[in-house]
Amino acid sequence: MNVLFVALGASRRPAVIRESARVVAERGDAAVLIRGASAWTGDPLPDGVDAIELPALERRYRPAAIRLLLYRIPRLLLHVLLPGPLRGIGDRVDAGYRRRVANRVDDRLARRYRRDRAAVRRRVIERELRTRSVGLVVVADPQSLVTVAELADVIAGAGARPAYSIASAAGRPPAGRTRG
Amino acid sequence: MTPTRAAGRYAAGRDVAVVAPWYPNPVQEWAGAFVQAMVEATAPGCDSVTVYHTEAWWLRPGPEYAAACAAHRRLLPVALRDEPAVAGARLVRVPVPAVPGRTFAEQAREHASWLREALGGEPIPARVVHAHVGLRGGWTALENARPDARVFVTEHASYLDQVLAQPDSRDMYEQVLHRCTGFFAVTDVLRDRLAEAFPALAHKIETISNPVSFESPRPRPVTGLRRWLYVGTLVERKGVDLLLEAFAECRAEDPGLTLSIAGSGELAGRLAERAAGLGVGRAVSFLGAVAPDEAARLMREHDLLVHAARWETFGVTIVEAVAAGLPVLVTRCGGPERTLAGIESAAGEMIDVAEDAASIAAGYRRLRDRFPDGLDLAKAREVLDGRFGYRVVADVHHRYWFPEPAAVGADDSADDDVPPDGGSGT
Repeated sequence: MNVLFVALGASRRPAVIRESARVVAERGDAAVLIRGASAWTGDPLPDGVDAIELPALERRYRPAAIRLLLYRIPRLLLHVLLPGPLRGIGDRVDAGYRRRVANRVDDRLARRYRRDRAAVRRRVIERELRTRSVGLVVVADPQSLVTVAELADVIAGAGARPAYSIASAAGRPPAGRTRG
Repeated sequence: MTPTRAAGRYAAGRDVAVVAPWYPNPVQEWAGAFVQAMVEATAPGCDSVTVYHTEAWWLRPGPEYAAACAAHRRLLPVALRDEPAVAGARLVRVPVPAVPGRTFAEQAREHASWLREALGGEPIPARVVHAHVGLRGGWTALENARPDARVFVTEHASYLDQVLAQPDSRDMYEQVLHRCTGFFAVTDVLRDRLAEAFPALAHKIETISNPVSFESPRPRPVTGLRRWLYVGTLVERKGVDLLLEAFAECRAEDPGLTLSIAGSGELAGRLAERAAGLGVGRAVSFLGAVAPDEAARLMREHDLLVHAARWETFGVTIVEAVAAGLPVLVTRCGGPERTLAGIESAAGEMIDVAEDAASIAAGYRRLRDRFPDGLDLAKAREVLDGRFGYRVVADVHHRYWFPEPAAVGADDSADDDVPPDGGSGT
């Protein structure tokens, strides 16, 4: 099973390390959503476990239309117009275009499309869940409860389920919760 | 009550729920090992066992805590699932958002409230509930048990004096003692302390020790007392600093001695510095905290368990060491002189609690001088198995839990009429 651990508070690091290692050992894919890498320098994640910094993920976010119109289409045009041995010139032009035009336009647009930070977070997490085919989202510390609760519908929409540990992946709701 | 109906609301006759604030978990694999051992020992003979582990998840007080609680409340119905545990039991880990600085009574109310939330407001289905520690376990169980449940509480806490020193916690403790069906302390020391604090309820407190597994003896007997082992927390009360000094003194006479220290705690850094300062840095290994299985393996691979605690309610590692075929050098610190009563010399050497390392070193020399013929580890093991082995401890609990096995098994329809006090248990 592919698992995303949400560990924004880094306050239960041993649990994240042990459980993510177990996921990898069982041939699953494990990624850990963190606030910053510095909290994990003393307790590094096991080999094969990806650390995803949420602030960086949100910073890199651009709506699909922006990515397409500002970046992908111009790049495609340059590749078509400057093929073969001219590819190097095309890459330099593309870099200059991005620096002088696309990034500046994007900066201006970003003030609008990043205004709703919750929406940005929902989109980046949804993309991450779908890309990684995540089946289980583990709330790994109390500082992550709010974020995971806010994303509950996104998680369900991506076909995943929230949990408090991987050990309960195949478990049943406790008595009292079973009767609807 | 029929099994079908039990599956819907209430459980069958020999279903048991365990409520505890500690249970081995991925953050602390060693925490609550005695609860796990109790489940492992008592589950055989029960229809089903469900462990409710209310686990503190620490936060800063303030808006972050309030928001986390609200979010947790929304997540619980979709995120909480049980998981397999030892001996076929099921384990439900209920995170309890917690902030530091609260009294034990306040913490107990939070644990009780979150377990109720986890159960969707329904009572625990089992008719027998066994709680560990008085408030966060006992109070939580009593507040969530069904009205006719028989609730038993086992107290293990070495910090009991801190609990009783808080007025609200002391009041709550008295209520727990009053309301529960039966109350057990794991040592006479704890029992006496509680009886002294609550004389009117002293008649209700029995002593039943923690169970210890005697299933995995060491493959080869100990042939020399050279590889010392300490297993426990690294705090002042455990006397690990004196143990280290005594080790240095003994190693000066025998450079082949080594010491492994398995545990974590506030003294860890200072002990490592002290070992270097005493010139025994290379002979001392600090292994950090280890899981129960690993502790058992270490016991099978060392020659001597040294335990120099100043105060101990039970000292389960000492019994575990004897179970693993390991001699012990241990202080008379409360629990051990009772657990080893009658087999002190067979199991190893007991020393008085003293504020110097010389008494520990002297105890080691006495033990070394009469090893191996002056010991009888096989006898010690057999006696302790009869006192603390899984089957013995489980039998005692089962007698309290299921006082009328024939009636309970034959006619479950009468089960709902069982009075809250169960008519027994003390």
